[in-house]
Amino acid sequence: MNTNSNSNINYKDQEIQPINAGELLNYAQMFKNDNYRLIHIGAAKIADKFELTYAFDKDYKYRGIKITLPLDDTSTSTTPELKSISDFFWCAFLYENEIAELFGIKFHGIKIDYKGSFYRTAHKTPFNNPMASRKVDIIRTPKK
Amino acid sequence: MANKTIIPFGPQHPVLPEPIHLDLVVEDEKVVEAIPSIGLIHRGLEKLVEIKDYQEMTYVAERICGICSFIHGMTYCHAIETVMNVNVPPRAQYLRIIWSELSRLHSHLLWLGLMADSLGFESLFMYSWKIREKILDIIEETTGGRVIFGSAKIGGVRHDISNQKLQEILKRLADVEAELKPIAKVFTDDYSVKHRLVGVGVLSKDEAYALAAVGPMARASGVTQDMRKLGYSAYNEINFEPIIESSGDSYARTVVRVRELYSSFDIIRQAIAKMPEGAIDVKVTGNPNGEFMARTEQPRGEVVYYVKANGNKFLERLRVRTPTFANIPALVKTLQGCDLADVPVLVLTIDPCISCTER
Repeated sequence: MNTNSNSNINYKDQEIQPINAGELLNYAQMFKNDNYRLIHIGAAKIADKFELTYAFDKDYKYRGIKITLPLDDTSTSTTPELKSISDFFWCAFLYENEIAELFGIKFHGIKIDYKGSFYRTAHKTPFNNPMASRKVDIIRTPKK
Repeated sequence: MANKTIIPFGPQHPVLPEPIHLDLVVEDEKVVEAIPSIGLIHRGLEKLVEIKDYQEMTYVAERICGICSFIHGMTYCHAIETVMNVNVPPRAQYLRIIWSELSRLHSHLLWLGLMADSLGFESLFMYSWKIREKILDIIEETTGGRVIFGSAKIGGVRHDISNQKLQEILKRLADVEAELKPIAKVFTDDYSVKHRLVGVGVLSKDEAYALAAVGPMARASGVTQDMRKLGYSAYNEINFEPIIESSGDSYARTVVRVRELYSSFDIIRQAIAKMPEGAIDVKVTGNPNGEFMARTEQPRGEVVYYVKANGNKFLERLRVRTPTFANIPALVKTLQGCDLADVPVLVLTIDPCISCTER
């Protein structure tokens, strides 16, 4: 007998909705108004773009939104930028500082902005570059 | 108005086995603001997906933490298995529950000992860790390891536990539970323990939810949130309810962990009683393609493993959000307005695991 009180929950149900960067604050406000909890904000560098996933939870129900940003344009020195959602979810400041330092994505209006001192990394924006350690590259390179 | 002074707390401090730093803004003996600083030992393990294939990353995931190593490995496997539509055999699912709950037992006993130590209650600290050793012995006998179990595997588990051994575990857990009862009573009823914990670092239910606290930190404030209720592994076939307290103070966080010990004993008994026969793993071939965010309940709360794969044997991205990382905003809130002398206790009540956080 399944006695789990949340047996109607299927952990595989994960709705991730692609949105534009300009819609982010509207969605953040909507999730806040609907009493969702911020689970995490994650970034990934995929080929020629960044993907940022914002995940929310309410009564174990998962909802996510995904934003795609272009990579840093070195020819124009344009840094990918986003607005902070820490006005709505104060705890977002941790995730945004982390992404800013590991990926080099700039966030505007973070409630606590560490301005590059959140992590002590040997290399600047290490997750925006191929494996930074040359020593490791020599040991093993991924097969294409 | 008193002058404000900034007192650095950590990264090296007797109450901290691992480095975290807090800038405490104090007026006289009251903390008015706390600014956290982590990243002193960030390891960048997520980056290893570029040079280690998705199978090898299981070993990396297990090494993110020395306390809940099995649950890290299991959650990573759970994420990959969901992306690849792997059906893990039922016996393996139940074995995962047993090792997960043994991890919770030894983690909570470790924390209770550290809490007693921070209060200066050394005999309580030693008794807590003495009991913990017996859990570690069971883990060692069933997996071969006391810290890194090496049991998590994509498609199942690496070790089986014989039915005879399972019955032996039942008897030993009964002994451990009997030995725990007088110790647990000290944590919940002793005057000097309550004097240091009751009413200290109160986090209301609304604050805990808004700050996205997880695990015992959230449940001690009345937030009904336990990722085991998602039903991963075979938790959907286990009868249990999240342990909830309502006062939201350091005492409530202690009581939640004490009560969760008994809950874990019960879950292990149920898992052993329902243990199905059969295989403990399935062969997994091919490469993952897709994305999934696995959420499981570690001793410290919800852990998140986000994986994204494109059909290559190297993942495009692995992202780990640990419970300690999620509990930092709640810690900052509880520190506001506390006495300077209570800071070590409050830092401990989130059960900080910096090695997890500095993955």
